[in-house]
Amino acid sequence: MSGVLPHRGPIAPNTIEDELIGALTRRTVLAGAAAATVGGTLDTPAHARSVDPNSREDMVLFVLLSSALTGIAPSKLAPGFTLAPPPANPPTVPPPPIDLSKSVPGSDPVNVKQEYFTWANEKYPSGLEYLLQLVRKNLNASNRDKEILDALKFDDDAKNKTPSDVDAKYLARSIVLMWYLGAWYEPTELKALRRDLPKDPTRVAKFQVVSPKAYTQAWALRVAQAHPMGFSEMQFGYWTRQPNPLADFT
Amino acid sequence: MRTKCSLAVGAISILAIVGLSGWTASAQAPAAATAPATLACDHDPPPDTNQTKAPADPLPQEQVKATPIDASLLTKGLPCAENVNPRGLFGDNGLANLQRGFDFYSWLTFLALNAPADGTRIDQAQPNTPTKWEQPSNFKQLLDVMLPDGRSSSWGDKKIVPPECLDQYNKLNGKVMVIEMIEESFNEPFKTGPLIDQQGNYAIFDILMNKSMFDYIQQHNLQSKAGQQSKENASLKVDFPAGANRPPGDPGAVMIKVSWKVLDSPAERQNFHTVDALVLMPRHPNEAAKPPCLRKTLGLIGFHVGHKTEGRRQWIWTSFEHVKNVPEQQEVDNKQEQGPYNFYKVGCDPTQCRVNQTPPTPWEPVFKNGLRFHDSAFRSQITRVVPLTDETKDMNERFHKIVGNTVWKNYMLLSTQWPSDFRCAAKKDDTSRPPPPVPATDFKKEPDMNCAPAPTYLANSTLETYSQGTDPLASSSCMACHGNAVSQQVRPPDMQAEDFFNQSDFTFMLEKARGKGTR
Repeated sequence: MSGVLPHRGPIAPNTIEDELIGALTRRTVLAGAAAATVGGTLDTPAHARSVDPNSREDMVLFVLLSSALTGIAPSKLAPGFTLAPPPANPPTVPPPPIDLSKSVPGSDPVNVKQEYFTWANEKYPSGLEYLLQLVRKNLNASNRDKEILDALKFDDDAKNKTPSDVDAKYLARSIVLMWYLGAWYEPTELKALRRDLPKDPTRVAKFQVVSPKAYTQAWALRVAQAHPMGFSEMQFGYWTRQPNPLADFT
Repeated sequence: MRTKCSLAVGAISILAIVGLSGWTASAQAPAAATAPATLACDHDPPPDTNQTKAPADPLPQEQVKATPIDASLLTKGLPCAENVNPRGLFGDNGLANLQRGFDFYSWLTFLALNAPADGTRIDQAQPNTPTKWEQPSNFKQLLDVMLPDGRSSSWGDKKIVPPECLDQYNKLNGKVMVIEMIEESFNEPFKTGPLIDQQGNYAIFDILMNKSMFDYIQQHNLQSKAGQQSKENASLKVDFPAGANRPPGDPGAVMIKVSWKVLDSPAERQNFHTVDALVLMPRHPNEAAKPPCLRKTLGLIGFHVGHKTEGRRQWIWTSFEHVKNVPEQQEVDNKQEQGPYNFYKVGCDPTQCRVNQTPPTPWEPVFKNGLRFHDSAFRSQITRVVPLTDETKDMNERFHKIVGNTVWKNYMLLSTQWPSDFRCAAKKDDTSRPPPPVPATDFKKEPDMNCAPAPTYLANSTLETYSQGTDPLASSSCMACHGNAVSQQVRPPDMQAEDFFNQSDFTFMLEKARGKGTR
């Protein structure tokens, strides 16, 4: 990761949200490269299963989803996260299928992932179920993250998309913002924002801080090599020094 | 188990020859003299299970067994460092396995520090049997290191007794603990308030360090304000020695903070570890007279240990307390209190006994009241906000079984806080030039120099009474608090700000250095 943000001018008033998103995706935030936008078709799963935030397998799927959406490695979002089986040395081609039952969702004392998972599930259980099924469908894809993202990049009025597809797309955005900002932006609010912003650039999004813990774990400030206001785990006197490299934070 | 000798009531035996110069002799100990018991450090401490460590293949889960918690653990000695394993009883839950390992280590530490100083076994100890940590040869009180004029001292120096206590001290032949109270002796961290027991007495706090810490302080002239502020120390990155599990065995820096309850009633004394003490009340500018030196029997109610190791350079933080200090909040909510408690009155109307509230000001002890709080009606009404985990309670039960029918079964581990990001915790400073001396802790690492403490919060009901909870940076966390400790070092004008470190390696002791400073 170069850690360099792309240079951008002011946002044009008639720029639609997808163009904004295209210019400043989670990839560009971290990698400094523009992502290609490719539409894709998502098959709605024939048989949905309900999500269990206490299920190891579902947590593994949630971490993989979050990693794809945020561009942050699963082991950073969930310290101790490992997929089973571990990579062979030399690697086998094709690699063996991932065994969710043996994969480890990670264990860390802060465990903000549990909070986020529970929160999203309580608010949008069917939407979250949809997203986790998407991960499961692409679990063994050679470029899993890209497949997941591609399946969520489409216009709201795309003819081959259902309302559930659109809801899931905005839920995915809410999840990204939750990880980066520790705050919850309702998917419906994000959808309304997309509609309203071109007409009213001063429109301010409504949000809710998920919890004090979430506030302290927001990734946006780590990417900025900084810390949330009122909460720092850095050494006393850190302000006299240049921040450590981005890799130490992310 | 008690022996016939120990049941010889009224027989005061002179014990041995231990460095008992500061402490009382036990009234009921065995008559035969024994060799002085030193605080040995065990460089091969037992792990908590039989599970293998990487790179060896793990044992199948059904073959993983907990290390038996039996009497053999009573004589193991202080672990020089932790012996923990992310594999264990809890399958692939590395955090839970490590937590259990650290809790096991904490119990070994507690048993070693509180083992009788005369070399007898802890499961045969009397309430007032002097412990190893109470021996000046093993630990020194903070004010015996940070002397009034900032002068240096040697480990073997005799205790400097405050003049107000000298007569009593000499009459007792020096066999008494002396506590010279300062504000930190009665006012909890960050001046959050004193703690008043059900008899209306202040709880008293004291801080001690081992020889490793003492030697480092003396070697670097940190025992005085002037020394810390000297030009020579401007470039010092305070970095206390770290313990390691290799022969011959060096525990590194160990510090202790204890809390005591005044035991005026003889009936209470059978339930606590006790010491005979001279307590010098804190000097106060508003008081014309000299502070009184009060002879008291004190009962141990809280016990913190901080231990720096090579694997955990952010130290390992252990906390024990008396089982009858306070109920858990959920016990109160469910009306399942099992009193009486030291700091809670069962059945008191919450409008009269407001829970977890600080006492009314002023907080300073008043000479004429001795160690009784000025408001004679006030009693602290305290509950434990964050309950112990089931795993910790289980471990406490197992260790209680092996300490016999001694007072030590009345002490429980609350938890052990440890830095859970191992790579971060063991990180050395490999960028500074010249290379810093061992242990070469990296104090610059970001974003989290505490390396993800687990559990995130930890509070002792007697030592962090008013900061219990789970609010980030507001609620008690050993490492989050101690990580902000600084020294009195001063940056000279010709030094770049980014090259100056005045962090004091997780201890607030250095800010207590006295004498005349240069600034």
